[in-house]
Amino acid sequence: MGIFESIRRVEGLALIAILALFTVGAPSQAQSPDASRPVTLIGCVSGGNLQPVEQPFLLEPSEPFVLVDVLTEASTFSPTSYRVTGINLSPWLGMRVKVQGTVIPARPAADPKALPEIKATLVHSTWGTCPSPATWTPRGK
Amino acid sequence: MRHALIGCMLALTLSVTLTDTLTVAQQAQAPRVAAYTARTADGKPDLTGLWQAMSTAYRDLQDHGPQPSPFFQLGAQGATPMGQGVVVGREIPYQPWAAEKKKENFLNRLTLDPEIRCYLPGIPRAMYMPFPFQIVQGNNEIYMAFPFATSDRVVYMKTPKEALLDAWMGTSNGRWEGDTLVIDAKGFNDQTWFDRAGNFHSEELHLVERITPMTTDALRYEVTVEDPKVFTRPWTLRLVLYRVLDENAQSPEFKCVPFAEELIYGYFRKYPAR
Repeated sequence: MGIFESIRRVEGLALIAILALFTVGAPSQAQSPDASRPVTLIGCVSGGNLQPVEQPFLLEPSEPFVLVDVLTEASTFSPTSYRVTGINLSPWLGMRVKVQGTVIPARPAADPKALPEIKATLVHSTWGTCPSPATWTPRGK
Repeated sequence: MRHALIGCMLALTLSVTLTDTLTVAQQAQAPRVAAYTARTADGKPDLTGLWQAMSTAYRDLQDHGPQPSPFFQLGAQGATPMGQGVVVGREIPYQPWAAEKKKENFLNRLTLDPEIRCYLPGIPRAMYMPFPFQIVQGNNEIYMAFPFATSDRVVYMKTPKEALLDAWMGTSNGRWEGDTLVIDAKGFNDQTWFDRAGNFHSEELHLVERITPMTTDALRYEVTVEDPKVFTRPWTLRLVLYRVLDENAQSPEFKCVPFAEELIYGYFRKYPAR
């Protein structure tokens, strides 16, 4: 058996292994499309209700930050606002931001007013303005 | 046959390159004898001068990839470029709770990093911030002046001082071991970080710093970090400090307080009613 024949056999086995991996991996992704999944949302930062704490001159959020006026990955405005956890959004309060993270769906059975949550892993500002946080009403309300 | 020949040549090239890389890496790891070092009258290496780290340790002690700017207006200038770590063995041995806290620190670095608020940088962070710092060497004490927040430290060489209170810059006692300045530093508070990536410590931080001349213009700076409250074992970071050789070079002051005032006190501004 020549060296090239051996290489072809190894290549063939590798191809079969890769195909098998794809075949095994596909159903598990399809089974839970709405479960926690990484997404990128663009929206305006509101909420937080920052309050000063005594030391060391920090402002801490006393309520959750809420992402409103949300543009989804499909470039459509979402009727839903999102509660943002994982990152303190006070540096971006009132700004339009891009948030990467994992969405945890709301459980309306437990609380009908509950918002879905996005657990943020990366935030940075984006082009665009936001309505005044004091006057806006989240879409769909 | 032609393919086999090309394959062999590629393998040979890869092998030679790998060998070269390993040799260079091993040379970098091995302690080097100073070829020529400026010395004081009593024969000790003379560390007096302006020094600066050239690594990206101030951003992240560990290997790090690029990060976008938190504010798009800053574009490429505000982005974090990738950089090579300075931690020996690459991993910082955090306890599980501390590893979680480090991740939280990183995600919330804009609100938590003491550097943003112009707090004193602490040790070892002051030693590798991206500014030249001054060492003035005396027989009884060695003084180090850092531009950021006009911070400084005194290394007591003759009479060791006990850390009476926890402080931002700690308390440092030094001794010579051959040509190596060994500094034992403790008495730190728990407010400072190691870098902008959220690497942190507690008030039980204990550092053993070793500064060894490699040449007249380069110092090996090695720190063993102990903190039983945060880490599972001692770990070491190692980098090189370079002498600043520019004509008329001086240690620039960076009085950062005015630049942090809006961040810290802007909240108290009163706006008139419309």
